[in-house]
Amino acid sequence: MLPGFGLSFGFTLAWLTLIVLIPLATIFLKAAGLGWSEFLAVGFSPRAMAAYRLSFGTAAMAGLVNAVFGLLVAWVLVRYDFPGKQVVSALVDLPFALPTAVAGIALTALYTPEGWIGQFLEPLGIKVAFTWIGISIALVFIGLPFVVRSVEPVLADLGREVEEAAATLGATRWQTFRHVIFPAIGPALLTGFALAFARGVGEYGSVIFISGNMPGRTEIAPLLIVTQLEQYAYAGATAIAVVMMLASFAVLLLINLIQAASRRRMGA
Amino acid sequence: MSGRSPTTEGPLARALLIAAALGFLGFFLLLPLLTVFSEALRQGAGPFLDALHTADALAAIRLTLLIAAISVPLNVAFGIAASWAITKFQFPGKALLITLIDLPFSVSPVVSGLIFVLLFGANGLFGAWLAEHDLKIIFAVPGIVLATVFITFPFVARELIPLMLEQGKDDEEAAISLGANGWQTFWHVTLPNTAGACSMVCCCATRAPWASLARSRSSRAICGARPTRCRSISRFSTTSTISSAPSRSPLSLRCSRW
Repeated sequence: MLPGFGLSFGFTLAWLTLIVLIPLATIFLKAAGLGWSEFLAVGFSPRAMAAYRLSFGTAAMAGLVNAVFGLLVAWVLVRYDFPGKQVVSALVDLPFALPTAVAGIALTALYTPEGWIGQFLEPLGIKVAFTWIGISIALVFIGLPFVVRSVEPVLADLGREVEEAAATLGATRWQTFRHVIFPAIGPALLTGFALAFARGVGEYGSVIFISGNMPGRTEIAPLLIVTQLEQYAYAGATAIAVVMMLASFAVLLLINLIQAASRRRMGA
Repeated sequence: MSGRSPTTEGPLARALLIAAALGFLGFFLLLPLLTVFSEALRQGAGPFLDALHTADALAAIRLTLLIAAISVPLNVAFGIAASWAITKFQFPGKALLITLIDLPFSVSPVVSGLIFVLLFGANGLFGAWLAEHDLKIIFAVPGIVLATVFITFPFVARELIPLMLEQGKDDEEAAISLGANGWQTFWHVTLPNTAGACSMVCCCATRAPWASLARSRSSRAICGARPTRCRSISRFSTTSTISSAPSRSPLSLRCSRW
């Protein structure tokens, strides 16, 4: 049995309570001031429901795209050598460093019908800017580093022995990936997905430029909160924030439970 | 099947995978970046250089560095403690704990600023008490540090947990069985094992304040309406870019002027 459980667990819990739980509790406290019927009226209005659907739907979509391509990028960065690899690796972090508003404006400029990419999509009848597709693209941009940076260290740390063993037992490369490598990096991939999803749900700066912000159609939930704040309706803003927080808590908890279950199955 | 190593892919598969990854990155990361550059060049380098030398910008850079210097070590200490507790021990409610650690990421930056105003603002929970003791949290450095730590809270822990899980605890148990105490095991076994990831995580975590300050709505709410300070804060998005890559700045400058 390793020592240090009391210290590390106690410190974790204390810091978590101080930095996260107490501040988040104030949101609930403020929303409680509204009273139940008004809370429901603000937090579950048709306009808010449409915004939740959009925010969570596009964040999940972007998370999935990032899980697939983030894994691919991490794989290529860890396993292969090619010219310009360092540049590519640095490029992955770009969304962390670029102010989100700049990213939003750049993406909008790309995907409007006159933009570099938009002009080719326009004749095909595909609209990206000011639709949910544009929002998803912005969230893919924001979330990619989370997946790559979660998977990369685990993939790099994975010993080659298990793959050699699989190969000597006659497994094809695909079988080795499917049954040996993927289960090992699965938890990291799920973490990356969860982080990209979580970040996407709350994202504001990069999305508002490309979404067009049409109420009920391309209006994201964080924008709804800002709208409330601009009217000095702090309690209303916290009502929407509470609904969002509970929903994302439920989704994240589900992801983490799946992860814990798969780990138990693997460990057995 | 020729003489290639059985633990890698054929040249064709390799080329295809690299091409797919680069294609994706080119489409989703490089093109937006090029757009920023082309916008920037349209404006020329003059405004950017002027902006860099204003007293406001310099003060903002100093402030941002100070905040990163305070918040990164805090997050690293928490991240290491949390990932040690979570990956080396079994306890009920682990998934719940991890989810709570994740939560700040999903809280919109719009809301996280509001939270601290509700807590420490003049009409906030602790507002009266703070005023009584003449302590300043919002509209001052402590508030910005708090907001930054909150936003970047999950960073280190969440990147270390998958790695430490994958490594298991065999090495640590071996060290303990050889008579090492807890700290020795931590310093000589766990830390070196995770050093690569640790330094990368620190790097990410250092960058995180920039990015989070670029999501400056929360800091803007915290810093409030005091003219000089607020101007320097609202340029955070600018300074974060100035410090990380000068040539990217003009567009963001324009943004912060909106």
